[in-house]
Amino acid sequence: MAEKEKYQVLAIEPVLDDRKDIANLFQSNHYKLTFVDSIKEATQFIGNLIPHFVLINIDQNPKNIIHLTKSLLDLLPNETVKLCSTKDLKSKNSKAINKLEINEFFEKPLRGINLFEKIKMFKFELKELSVEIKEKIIVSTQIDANIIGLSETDFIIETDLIPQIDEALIIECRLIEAILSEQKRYIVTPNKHEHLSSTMKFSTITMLGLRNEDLQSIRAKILHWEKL
Amino acid sequence: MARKKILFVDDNMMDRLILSKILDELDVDYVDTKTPEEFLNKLKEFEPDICLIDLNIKQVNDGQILVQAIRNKLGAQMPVIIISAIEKSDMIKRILEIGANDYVCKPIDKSLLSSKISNYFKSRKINSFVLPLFEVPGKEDGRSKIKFECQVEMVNENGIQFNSTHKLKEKAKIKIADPFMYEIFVEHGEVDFIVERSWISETGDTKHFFGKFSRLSVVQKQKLRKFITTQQKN
Repeated sequence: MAEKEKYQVLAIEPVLDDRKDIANLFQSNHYKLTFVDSIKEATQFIGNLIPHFVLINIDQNPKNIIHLTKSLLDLLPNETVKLCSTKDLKSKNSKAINKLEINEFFEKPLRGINLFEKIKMFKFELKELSVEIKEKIIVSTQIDANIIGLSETDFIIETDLIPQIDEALIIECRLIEAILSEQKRYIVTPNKHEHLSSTMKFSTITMLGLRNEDLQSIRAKILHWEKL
Repeated sequence: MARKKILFVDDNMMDRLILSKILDELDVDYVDTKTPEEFLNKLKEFEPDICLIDLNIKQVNDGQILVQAIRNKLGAQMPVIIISAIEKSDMIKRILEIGANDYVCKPIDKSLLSSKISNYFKSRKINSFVLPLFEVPGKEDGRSKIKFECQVEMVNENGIQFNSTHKLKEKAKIKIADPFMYEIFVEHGEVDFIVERSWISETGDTKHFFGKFSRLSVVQKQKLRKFITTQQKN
């Protein structure tokens, strides 16, 4: 991760003294720490930015803290490290929240070398976000190519795309468009110009549906080049 | 070396004469037929190296039957060139979809037909009618773009995995200008990738590649994280 791309840490901590402990815990330049007072504020934050770490103080006033915590965790990706903190690990709320999908439950005060090491370990274990796209999404893609040779019916193209014989290709090239009377169909044909197409970088493309005037334009172009 | 053999079908007498005259000059053996039935009868007996089929708009379906019969009798490798006065690109597309290898517009030019035939076999006589390949003098002149479609399979913070009918070389630079990119990054829909990995599925029928984002701003990375999270939750 580059210097500028810091690990985003979102801490839901209304208690000022405890914020100092958290700031010490995430003091390295690798982290960008943001404090919010409530889960509601945290939800708004997540709407814009997905943090790498979330630390939730569960000793907050709302009676429905369990439900709110669950709702917040549901908004986060699997890869975000989810941490909770409390003064009392044995409280009813702590026990209930401990059953949610969180990575670690810390008892306050959040100090000590062990805690620091644990955060470091989580940092090293952080996974990149990833998702399989189940719906069919087709995107139009383009790759640069270069026409290096032209004959009366085909041309040689140099490209990092490796097409198969008989495949149709959509090629945009000013040179060919200027020569031919209209957009033609191009298909990949077996190579017959070994001296140029000795590597996989070259493909022979045949122009289909050529008319006499196309042929005349191609010949004129080739003759013009010969005179150069 | 045995002379190459060409079988053709054309219902127009004048066109048959023109084609015969061209083939006479090409130093090949040929048989001309008037009807699809006659063509099919000669197919097995004559065992051509190339078939030429004349088609007009009304005969496209007949053409499909002929190409299919050629494939059945002489195999998938038999070159089939369609000769037609049809110039509409959607009709040409349809003709090619019926399984022909190539397409030549009427009126037939000897050099053009020679060049097309020479794609399938080498013959000094045929090649003498064809201008040799000429190297494009300036790199700028030949600059072009190939457009193709890919299906998105997986998105992660480093890039996107696609599948495509085309194989790509590793380190290839590609550009995707698509609403899907706009969906991810909100601001603009054009993103550059570098192909980091390229592979073919075990079954051999699908080609995959992983395109790494070539550069993303911190803001774009945040938008990407948001997109992936939303997709995970969906």
